[in-house]
Amino acid sequence: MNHDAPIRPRVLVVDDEAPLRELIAVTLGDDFECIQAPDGETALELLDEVKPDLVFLDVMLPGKSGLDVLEEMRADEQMRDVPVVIVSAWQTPDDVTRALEKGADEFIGKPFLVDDLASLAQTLLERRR
Amino acid sequence: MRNASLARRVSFVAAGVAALVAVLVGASLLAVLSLRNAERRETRSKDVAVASLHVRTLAADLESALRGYALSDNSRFLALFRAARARVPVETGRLSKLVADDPVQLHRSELVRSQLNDYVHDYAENVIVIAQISRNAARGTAANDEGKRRTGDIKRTLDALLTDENARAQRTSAHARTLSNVAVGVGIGALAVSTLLVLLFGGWVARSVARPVRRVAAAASDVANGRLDVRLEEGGTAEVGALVSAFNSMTRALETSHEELVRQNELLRESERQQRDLIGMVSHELRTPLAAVLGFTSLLIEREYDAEERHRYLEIVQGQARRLARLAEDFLDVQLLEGGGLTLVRERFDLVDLVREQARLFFLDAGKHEAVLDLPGEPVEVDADRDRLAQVVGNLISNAVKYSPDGGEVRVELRVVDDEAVVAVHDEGVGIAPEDTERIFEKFFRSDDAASTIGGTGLGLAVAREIVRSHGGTIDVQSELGRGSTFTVRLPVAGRSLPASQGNPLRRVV
Repeated sequence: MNHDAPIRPRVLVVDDEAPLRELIAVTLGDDFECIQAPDGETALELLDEVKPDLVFLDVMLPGKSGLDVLEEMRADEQMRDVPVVIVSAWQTPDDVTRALEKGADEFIGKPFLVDDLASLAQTLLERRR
Repeated sequence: MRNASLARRVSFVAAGVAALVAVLVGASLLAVLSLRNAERRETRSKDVAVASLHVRTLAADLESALRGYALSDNSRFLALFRAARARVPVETGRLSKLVADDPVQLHRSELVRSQLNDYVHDYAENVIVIAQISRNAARGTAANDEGKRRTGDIKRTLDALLTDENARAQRTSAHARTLSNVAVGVGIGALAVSTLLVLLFGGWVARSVARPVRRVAAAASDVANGRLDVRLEEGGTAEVGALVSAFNSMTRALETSHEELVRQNELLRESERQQRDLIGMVSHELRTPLAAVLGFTSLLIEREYDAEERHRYLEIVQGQARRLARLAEDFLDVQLLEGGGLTLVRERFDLVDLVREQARLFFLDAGKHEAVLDLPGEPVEVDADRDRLAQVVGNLISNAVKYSPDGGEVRVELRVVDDEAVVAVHDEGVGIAPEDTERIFEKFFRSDDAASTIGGTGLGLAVAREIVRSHGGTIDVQSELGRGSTFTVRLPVAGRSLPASQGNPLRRVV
């Protein structure tokens, strides 16, 4: 990372539902710099562009699904180590296992507790350091 | 006999073989009996020959002793004569006893006995008396040929008896030989015929019983291996034919019930899958707005926000709560459809207004789409339930936006064609596979692609179709996978014969 060192960690929030993107952003608050993407294609472009420190990723997205995005990230030299939290309304044991197998770091079901989200973000960022 | 039962055929053949064997045994028995008879006859002939030889010797002994005595006056000859005379009843008795069963021979034997007795009493004893008185006289008497004549008679009678006996024995033996030859011939014939019969029957059994039974066995193992479509050619002997047709109806029944089972299993699996999908879909459709409602309300309770922020978050909560309410209404609509139809509140209104209104509302969400609205210049009036038609048009426009995630043109048109109002909503989105174009109007149906990437209940189009139909209209779709879809709704326009409605909306319940 040879660009200007950010003071706040950058978080990419990917969800086709605008209210949920905003909910995550508001929950994380001013300690994080939140960038939003409504679909998989946009998410991949932003990943390349802004190099986030953490990604919140919905699964059911128009076009490329969240799991497709995750797969591409894990195959990419630069994005391989970026922590990913899957946030999905589909949360059977099968759904969770599939997400973790594809390389997700954490899985959060919708609806979620706002306190959990913020502390999880902190934990993952600290672990990365 | 072509269709006679197997049991009857076996009985026939068994009876035939039994009769032939009986003939064989009978003929052998007859031959054995006649041969034994001939043997007995031969033995008897030999005995008769011996006995008659003894009688002949006796006669010769009597004559030579008598002659010796008469010529020599030696009492030793007299003793010999008397010894011989004592044997007469014994020897003649033996002969008679041997031929007792044959009247002619018995007569001859008795003749010999009386000839011998006559010889002894009427001649020989006279000669002895004479000899005791006068040797010379006796010599003279003995010298004449009376004794020789008498013994000669006896010999001739015996010869006749013997000859006849031999002839009879020969005849019996010849007859026995003939009979046994015939018996052997008949036996061989019967044996040959029964062997042939058994062979023919065996061949027939092999061809018309064993072979079909083998075929049934082979087909049965095919069935056991899961090939339920095997059928055997019908026909054959009664039992075999019955077996074959029973086998065929068994496989037919098996196949039918197997198909039925497979079909039911398929239906069951399909309905299980639908149920699973439905539960997943419902929980997903509920969880997304719930997450927003719960999340923002928690934040509003726990944290401090300025008035502007608070207002914005409350608006989001309200919007998501409305979304939940709509979801509940959709389910309620489905309930109504299943309960036997909707209650329409009809009024006369301008469809152009309605379409414009809905398009504006839903085009708000269409950031990357090129929204095109093509409406006629003058009003298009319909007698319909305004809220329900708004629901239909709004659903079609929001679908067009939702199912074209990459953007493209969304075109909404309204035209009047032959007294029909035609609303067409066109998109350049994901499209619908040909096999799904009918099913998308079924409730809860979602194509596999849509279900995995785009949220939804699968209720909107089912409700829309029901609403359009209850207005006497039609709804259909033209689509190409990956190229886009056009949904078209056709509704009857308001009749011109309803002037009363002008400026005064007519409301009635249908």
